[in-house]
Amino acid sequence: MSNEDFRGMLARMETAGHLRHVTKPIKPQHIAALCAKAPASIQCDHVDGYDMPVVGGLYWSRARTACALNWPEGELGSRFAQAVARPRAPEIVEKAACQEHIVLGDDVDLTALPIPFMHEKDGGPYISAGVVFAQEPGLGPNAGCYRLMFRTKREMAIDLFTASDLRRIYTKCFDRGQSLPIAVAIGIHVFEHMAAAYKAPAGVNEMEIAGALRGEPVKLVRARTLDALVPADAEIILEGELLPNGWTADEGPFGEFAGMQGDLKYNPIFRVNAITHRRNPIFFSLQMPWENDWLNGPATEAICLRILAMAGIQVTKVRATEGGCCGWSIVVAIKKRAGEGKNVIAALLSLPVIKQVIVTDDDIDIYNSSEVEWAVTFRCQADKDIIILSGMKAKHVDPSVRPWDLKPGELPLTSKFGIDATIPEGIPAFRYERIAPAFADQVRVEDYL
Amino acid sequence: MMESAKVQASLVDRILVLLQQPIFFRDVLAALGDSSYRQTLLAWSDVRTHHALLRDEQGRYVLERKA
Repeated sequence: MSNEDFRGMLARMETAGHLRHVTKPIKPQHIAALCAKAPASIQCDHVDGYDMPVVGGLYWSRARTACALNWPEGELGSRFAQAVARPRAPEIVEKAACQEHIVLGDDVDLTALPIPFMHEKDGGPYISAGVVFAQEPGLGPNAGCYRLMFRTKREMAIDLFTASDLRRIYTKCFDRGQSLPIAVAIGIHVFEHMAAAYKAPAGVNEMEIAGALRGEPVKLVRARTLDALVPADAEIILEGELLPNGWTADEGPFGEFAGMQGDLKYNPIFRVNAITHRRNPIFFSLQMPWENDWLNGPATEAICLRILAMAGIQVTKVRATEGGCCGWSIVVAIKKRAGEGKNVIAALLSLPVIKQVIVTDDDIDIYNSSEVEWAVTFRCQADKDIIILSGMKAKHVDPSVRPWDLKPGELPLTSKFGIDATIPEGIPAFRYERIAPAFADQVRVEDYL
Repeated sequence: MMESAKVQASLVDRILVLLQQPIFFRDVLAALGDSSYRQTLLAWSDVRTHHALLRDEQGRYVLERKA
């Protein structure tokens, strides 16, 4: 995997059966629907009106994400946690594939890119896989994932609605009436993309975390028209500036990470001054919601592992579930000592996003929903083992907290719950002895079927 | 006028007619389905550059009426 780029990752996913080529012509506005229905991620080789392929659905499931990372499915969280603990400095290069072709100034035309229209009520075509690179004075480089809506040949609206490092950096520029130079990379390796999606503390260089995920330094190159370092092997880079218009440009609605159509927002404008790209670039269209969610899943599992280690819990597996958008619902298997089922619930529900937790013993396969349900059914007494906490910090994106009823500036509150589905104290384990087919060690399926 | 410019001007006119009523962007693509996606985006770019668009609560676009 030495220095594997986005294309190398695609080739590996294709070999593993997780990526298929679509050779029939397809309209850009049909790609999202095909991605949602396809049994694998797809690369559309003939997009109507464009000579640039579009790839999507790469991280649509745990299995595809694990394949892209080349990690075992059960180790996403633990491997991410190891990487965060050992950042690795990037390598700066002078010449880069992402700058093989350069378009400047008035020649910039965003319609030359096959930016797909994705969801029925979206406000326009969206760059959904954009990773923004900026420099923060005094703190250094910053990378993060932000969506961008097509407005004109040279302008996109960028979603800076919620709190983020980029919003903080932009706000300082906005207060001074200055624009903020940024570069947007499209089509970068999952290591760089996942590191950018990780909510690293301010001042932490996300590309150092990407280097740790890779196990080798990330190669970066200086952008051609502004002071930012970008992944050298990115497929496409947009260089430009966030205009000091503040939160005034209509942006959205867009199909959000929580699987619901979001609201119209007002956001800053990104003016594009240059496009650089590889020869024969591939456009990456990240598909909502699962592909977005899975970029965060390993980081969520890593945080859970860290918190539970601090609480002294012996965790055997952690699973951020897809139905919980890889952040809101967690299943944990532990080697339990008395009371620790409840300790896990208390620890994890204190994290800002997590809204529900199920704890099982380590004999349960937490990747099998039927096994988890079995444990909940037979190891849980609702009056003793379901913990409900009220009045906790919530997210506006959750309609059940009725965010529309809030006064301006008021923050939403939520209730959360945890289910302790570990064997209750005082019940001997033999009461849960599982059925074992007789002579299972002597019967081989391939001898009969 | 170059042929492509004529096509684009025609598309702009068609979009402006559509924008007399609140519409989603999807409706623009559907109504202009006989044109290429890129031509539609170029026309949309022209509309956004030269005309003020309002958005309603659902996020639908409508042309701002001049007083």
